[in-house]
Parts: sequence; structure tokens; C-alpha cells
Amino acid sequence: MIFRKLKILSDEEMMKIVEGAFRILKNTGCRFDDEKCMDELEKQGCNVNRDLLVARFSEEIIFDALDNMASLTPLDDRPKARVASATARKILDYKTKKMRPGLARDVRDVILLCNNLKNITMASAGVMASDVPEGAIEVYNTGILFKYSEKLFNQWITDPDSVEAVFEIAKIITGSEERLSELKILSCMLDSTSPLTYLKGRLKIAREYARLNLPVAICAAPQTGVTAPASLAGCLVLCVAEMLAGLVWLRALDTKSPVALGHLAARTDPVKGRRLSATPEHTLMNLGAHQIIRYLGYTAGISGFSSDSCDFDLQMGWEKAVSGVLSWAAGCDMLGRAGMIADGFSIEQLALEDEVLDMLYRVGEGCVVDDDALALEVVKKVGPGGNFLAERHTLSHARDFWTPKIFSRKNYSQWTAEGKKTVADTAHEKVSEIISKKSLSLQIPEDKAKAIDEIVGKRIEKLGGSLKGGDAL
Amino acid sequence: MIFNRLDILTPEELERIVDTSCSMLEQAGFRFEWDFALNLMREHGCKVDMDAQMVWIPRRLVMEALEKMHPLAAPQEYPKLFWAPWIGMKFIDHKTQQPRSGTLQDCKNIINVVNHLENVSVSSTGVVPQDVDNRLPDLYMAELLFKYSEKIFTTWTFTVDTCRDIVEMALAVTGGEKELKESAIINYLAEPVSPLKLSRHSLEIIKLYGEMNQAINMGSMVQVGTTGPATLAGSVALQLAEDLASLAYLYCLGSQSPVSLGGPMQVADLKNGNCLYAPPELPLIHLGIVACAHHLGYLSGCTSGLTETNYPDFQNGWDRGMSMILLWAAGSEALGMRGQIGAGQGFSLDELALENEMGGMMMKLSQGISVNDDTLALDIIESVGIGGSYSKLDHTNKHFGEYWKPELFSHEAFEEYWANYKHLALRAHEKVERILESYSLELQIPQDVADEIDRIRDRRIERLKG
Repeated sequence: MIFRKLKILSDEEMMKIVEGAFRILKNTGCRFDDEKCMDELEKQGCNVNRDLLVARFSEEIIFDALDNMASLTPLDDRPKARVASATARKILDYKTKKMRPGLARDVRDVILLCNNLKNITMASAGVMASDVPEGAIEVYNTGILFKYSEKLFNQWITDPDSVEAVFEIAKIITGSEERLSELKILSCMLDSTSPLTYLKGRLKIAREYARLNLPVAICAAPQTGVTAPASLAGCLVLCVAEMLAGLVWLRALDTKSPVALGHLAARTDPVKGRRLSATPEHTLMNLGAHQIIRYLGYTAGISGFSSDSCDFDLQMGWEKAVSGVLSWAAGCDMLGRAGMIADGFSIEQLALEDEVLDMLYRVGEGCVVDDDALALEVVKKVGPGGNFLAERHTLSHARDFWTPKIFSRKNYSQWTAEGKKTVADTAHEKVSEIISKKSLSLQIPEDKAKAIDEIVGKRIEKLGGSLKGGDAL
Repeated sequence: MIFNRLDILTPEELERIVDTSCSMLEQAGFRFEWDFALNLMREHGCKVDMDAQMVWIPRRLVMEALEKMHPLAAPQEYPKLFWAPWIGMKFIDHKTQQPRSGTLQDCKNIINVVNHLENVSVSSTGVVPQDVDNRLPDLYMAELLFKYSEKIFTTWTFTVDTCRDIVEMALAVTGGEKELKESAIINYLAEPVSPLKLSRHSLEIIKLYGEMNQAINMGSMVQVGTTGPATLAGSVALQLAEDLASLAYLYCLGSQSPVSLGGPMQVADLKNGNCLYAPPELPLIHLGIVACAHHLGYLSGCTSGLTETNYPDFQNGWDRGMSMILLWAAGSEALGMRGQIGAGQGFSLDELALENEMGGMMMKLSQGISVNDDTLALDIIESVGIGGSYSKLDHTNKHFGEYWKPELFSHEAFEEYWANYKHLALRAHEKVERILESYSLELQIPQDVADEIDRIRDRRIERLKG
């Protein structure tokens, strides 16, 4: 298999974009909304304007960061990508086709599903539970995920006040801060606010994670024609500039945090001004960003498997295929947003993505080319006009073929006779079955679970809520 | 743009497959079911058994044919692939959405719609009409396409007599043999019967088209597990062997026809014997045959981008998208069977309209990221500065105008979408309705040439009556 060869920029084009980012950082710079950063960046050699909280960067400083900041280790079992379940405020009610606020019980359902969907490699809580006090949601989700998730998980922390409690929970798992630093079971996202700004809260969170050498994903999420140039190359220049500015700042912290760079830019709907996430322009930017990030020597994360459709229709399948397959074929290391439909989460969508990933991984296994597979002797034996069906060789390979679990292979008559069920209906049945027949089981010792509940409970109480024993609300 | 970079086989693996294909032709042999072809192959150094109609083709002849024959030229326009409709027996009725036998009027409607779908680059009649003399549907199909198609087209040729009539129609359209030979307006899918056999009528048709230098697409239909080995590499090697046998025959005929390699390979469901239209193994074998064709210096086409579903749902989009995108990224120059739905259930105009929408998106993807002073926008980034807005800039307005705009796909927000709910299938249906209501078929050739085509058709009908 020779995947990871899909390139959409020539080396020369890629260099122009990177050099453009260097120029922007040198002439315009980047704003860090925290005076402390000015000290850190000045010490690193940046030209800082403390009144404007702006730092400008020389080439040498950027190269120093690129040379010295370690990359998060990518997966070694290529061509598989790390596929992460998403987290949204709302969740789709499949029967009514309406979005409703996420609830704590949804979090449990999503974790249960992630545990049972083999191709979703990183779990998430799926939703921000609206029945948990606002400032405690991230802590609650982290606690539940540590208790019940059988997989690595993603729970970005956006509230600086949650960091302490989240670290306390992680330390219960690892035993100490030193072990947490070694095991790196938490990570954070340092996302810029385009154009060219890092907000104080995000910097505060990232500083804490960097102090413990925990992984940091530096992400740029501009919107073409609004917070970035409308031209794709220009938007990429801005993204790269913002990522590099974040990288230099992390370097200034003298951290050993491994870094991933993420591209979450979106194309704008010129008429309505909305962010669109599955247009061809968006996919092109994803591929270009991925290529540049790999060139810079880092693990890349992008929002693959995107769709702008609000229904489980052909558009959604097609858009997810275009964005996901191309990102995967280009060798992207991390694909986020699994389970998203419009701006909400859907458990049916998560199951469908598990199915399509299974199919894609079969493609990734490629064709075996050896004497047995080339089957020259079998062809000679069967000869012109013969049939391979009864051959032992056919029998011995009959189980090599991929079998769908949700997708349908029914012909028109069968499909009609069975009520014209859509693939989303089948996905709904599958997730309902998992949720009704399986249950969450503790992944950590009882005493640790209890200690986590106490931390979560304290956080909730502080904000006016309460836990009714265990992690029940 | 640097596409054509998705390789699934190493050069060594490709060489092994080509070597195995040549060994199949040398050792297993190939059946040519026509004495003329057997004699021709013997004259060119092949070992021949006239009784068994078997030919063992030496590697030398295959290599010579590969070197001397002319590859079909690649499409120059974005998305740089031939995007050709399917031709099936059933038609998904436009009003009832039920599958039924195709009619001559369906053929006309399909040609009309294809004329007005900007991303479907090749035309066809979509269905084989069942309301005409069942010995002549291919002649009626060709007649309609010559007269009304605004695009190059592909069609089936079921009999040698029809082939002769089609060549005569092409001569009438182009104005003579010299003009026809230079224009290559018709093409033929040389379809060996797997494993390792070419029927007499295929051999005769290849000869007739070959003599007029018309394009020949070498495309057998090996089915993994039944007419080919159950292993993917073995079936790709068999498919290539059959393509190369056809190529060697065309070379021995002394034809100047441009050639492509590839074809509509299939995968059997070994549990029930059904033909599968969208298993993940299908794009793999198609990627394999495309890679082999490119390795040998030829263009390639296949029939990926199909679906098992009967409705434009998520699976339909994924099935089509995964295989189509992989093949396109690997540089396949032709993707056939557009408009097909539901495990070969039938041809659907609504599906074709949806695929036209997909084609528009692929065209935009093909254009890639333009990198120049204007698009890099460094001066603009510097002038907008930190925390500024790009919303009202001339640069923004100009580039907004270049963005892909969907016609059928939705970019609405969730609440807006469900408040004005109209399923994608209905949106596609309405687009087809609009085309059929707004346009009628118009002759694309002078009236006297159309009359000549009618005369050729009528003469054949008279002969059959006689």
C-alpha cells in the first residue's frame, strides 16, 4: 500500500504559503491577549508591543520552535487515522428530527456507543449536558469519560476555571502529577481567534497543560472572507501564521509538550455568511493544510468527514466521502467531528461513520500481490470459458470479503417489501439495540471512581447544583 | 495541481501483475471464436489450435502491441474525466419512481436531459428500448444519439449488422471515410467473455471499428469469485490479460484505433451469487486496473461510483463518493454507469441529476488551490491586520464569486432546512422536470444527414421484414 501520496500543492506552492506566513508574522505579528505572554515571547527574542499585546517574529525564532518542539506521535498502524467523536451542545432526536439540548443521560449513551463502535478510536461525551450547571460541564464530562470510556477520549477544556478540577481527576487516575506528565492522558486545544489573536482564557489553559508537558493541539479556525482572505491560499497563509505563532509561544514556555497542528478553517456562504464545512473549497484547504503541516514535521488534525446537509441523505454521504476519503487517502493523522450533523450530535450518524470507516479500512488493506493471490495456476486450471466458483482457491478466500453491518444490499423488491427502510433507520435500530442491551461498566477501581465523583460533585455544588449519589444528577 | 498520485500498488507489484497476465496468455491461452481471428493470430506468431479455437499469445506480441498502439487521448477539461451514463434494461419511471422496461421515449428524454447537464460529459440513451423490434434496439439507440446528442456518446452494439449500419451512419455524419477516420466519433467496448474468451461477434465488431480507426475500449467484465479468481490481484491480472489479448488482436489487424484499457469489473457476493455494486473490494480492483493501465502507458476507465441502495440516502452518497473519489484521485480518466441506482435496478434521471451535482463539486476540487500574489493576499492580510474583518473587501467579493454554488445540495441551517423541508430526491426530480419542460430535442446534424440516417435504419427494418 502506498497511500499518503495525495498532494494538491507543489513544493513551490507550499513554500510560497509558508513564506507568506513568515512574512505576516514578521511584519504584522500576532496578538496574545495576556501581558505574561509578552514577557515570555520577548525572552524568546520576539519584538513585542506591550500596549497592543502584539509580538512579531523573526524567521530564526520560528525555525527554532520548529526545530525544538516535538510532534505528537502519529499512529503507526497506517492507513488508519485516529477518528474522534465530536461534542456539541445539541443532540438530534431521530424520531422527531428535531435538535434538543444534550443531557447527562446522552453523555452515557454516547460513551457506551463509542465503547462498542470499533472504528471510532477516540471517544467523547457527545454533548455538553444542559442539566449540569454550565461551568461544571467540562469537569462532569471528563469524570464520566475517565470512569466509563474504554478508549482514549477527547474532552476539550474551554473554561480556565475547570482546569484544576480536571487535573485533579486525572491525577486520581495516574496517582501523581509526575505520572500524569509521563502518561499524557489529557490534552488541550490552543485555538486562535482569527485574524491573528490568541485569547487570554485559551492561553491560560494551554499554559497549565504545557506546565505538565501534556499534548497541545494548536488549531486555527478562520472563516474565509470574514476573518481570513476569501482566497484559499490566503486563508492558508493566515492559518499557518497563527499555528506558528502559537508554536513559538509554547516554545517560549520551555515545555516538552508534544504538539499537533490543526486546521479547522471554514468556507463562508457568500449569501448568508454562514460557516460551511463540506464545500470543495473546504476540502481543498484541509488537504493543503495537511500537506503543509506534514512538511513542517507535525501530526495534522483536520475536520474530516464533514457535511453541510441536515439530513441523512445522499448529500451527507457524498460530502462525508469526499472530505473523509480524501483526507484519509492523503494520510491525515486525526479526523475529528465524527457524529456531527449540522451543529448537533447524532448517535445514528456516529454509527454510520463507524460503518463507513470499516469499509474504508478494507480499502486501506489494499490488494495482496503474491503467488496465491495472483492465482496463475488456478486460471490455467479453469481455462477459457470456465468457472471459478467451485474451485478450492475460491472457497479458501470466500471469507476475505467485507460484509456490511448497517448498509443494505437488498434489491428493489426486497427493499420495498420491507417498508423501504433507509440506512439511517437501520443505524437507529443498531444504536437503540446497543443502548438497550449493553450497559456502561466502570473502567477504573471503585475507590478512584468515588474520588472522581467527589471532585465533580464539589464543582457542581459550587455552581448551585448537586449529584444524587455516584455520578447521577 | 498534483493529482494522479493515489497509488495502491508498488512498481514491483504492478510488474508482477503484468507478468502474470502475460503468463496467462502464454500458458492458459485465449479462445478466439472466429477462424479469421485464429488465422490472423497465427500469422503473427501465435501458437493456434483451430479445433479448440485456442490461441497462445507470446509475450513478445503483447509488448509489441503495447508499444505500437495509440492510447486514447485524456480529456483536457476539468474534472478531466469522461463521465458517462449507464445503459440498462430498466428505467426508473420518472413519475411513479417504479422500475419498468425502457422505451424509445425514455431514450429521447435521457438524451435531452444529458444535453443540459453540464458535468455529464458523455451521452447515452440510458436504457435499451423495449418497445421497438427486439432485434434492433441498438440501431434505434445509435440513430437517436447521432441525431440529437450535443455530446460525444457511447452506446451498445449488439450485432455485427448493427455495427455496419452504425459505421454507415457515422460516415454520413462525418462526410466520408477519411473524415471518419480522423474524427473518431464512435467507440466500442470490446468485451471479452471472462475467462479468456472473445466471441465471434465481438471480434467482427472490433475489426469493423478498427478498420475505421474508431476508439476501442478494452474492457472485459471479470467477476471476482465466479468468472475470475476470488483474490483481487488474480482477477486484476485476468482482466488485464483479457484486455491485452484484445489489444494484440487489434494490433494484428493493423488498426490505428486509439485504445484505452480497463473495464467494468465486478465482485460477486459469494453467499448468494449476486453481483455487488459497491463493496470496498470494487474500488480496489478498479484502482488496480487503472494503475496497470497507467503503468503500461494507457488511459483507463472503470465503472466505480455505483451504489447498492434504491434511494438517494446516506449510503447512496457514501457508496458513490468513496469509490468515485478514490478512482478520480488515482487519475482514472473515465467513470461510467452514471445514473444507475439500486444494484443495477435501473437508470434514474433523478440520480443522474444528483451525480451532475457531484460532478460540479469534483470539477471545483480538480481546480485545486490557486497560488499566486492575488490569492496569497499578503498585502491584504497585512492591511486588515490583527482582529480586523475581510467582509467588505473587493478581494473578498471577487473570490466569493469563484466559490462552488450548489444547485441541489443544501447549505441551509438546521432549523431553516426542516422548516422548508424538501427531500433532496424531490429537488433532483424537479430539476429533471424543469429540463424536460423547458427543452425539446433538436437535430444536431443537417436535415439531409438525418434523412440519410433514417434511410439506413429503414433499410435495415425492410431487410428484416424481407
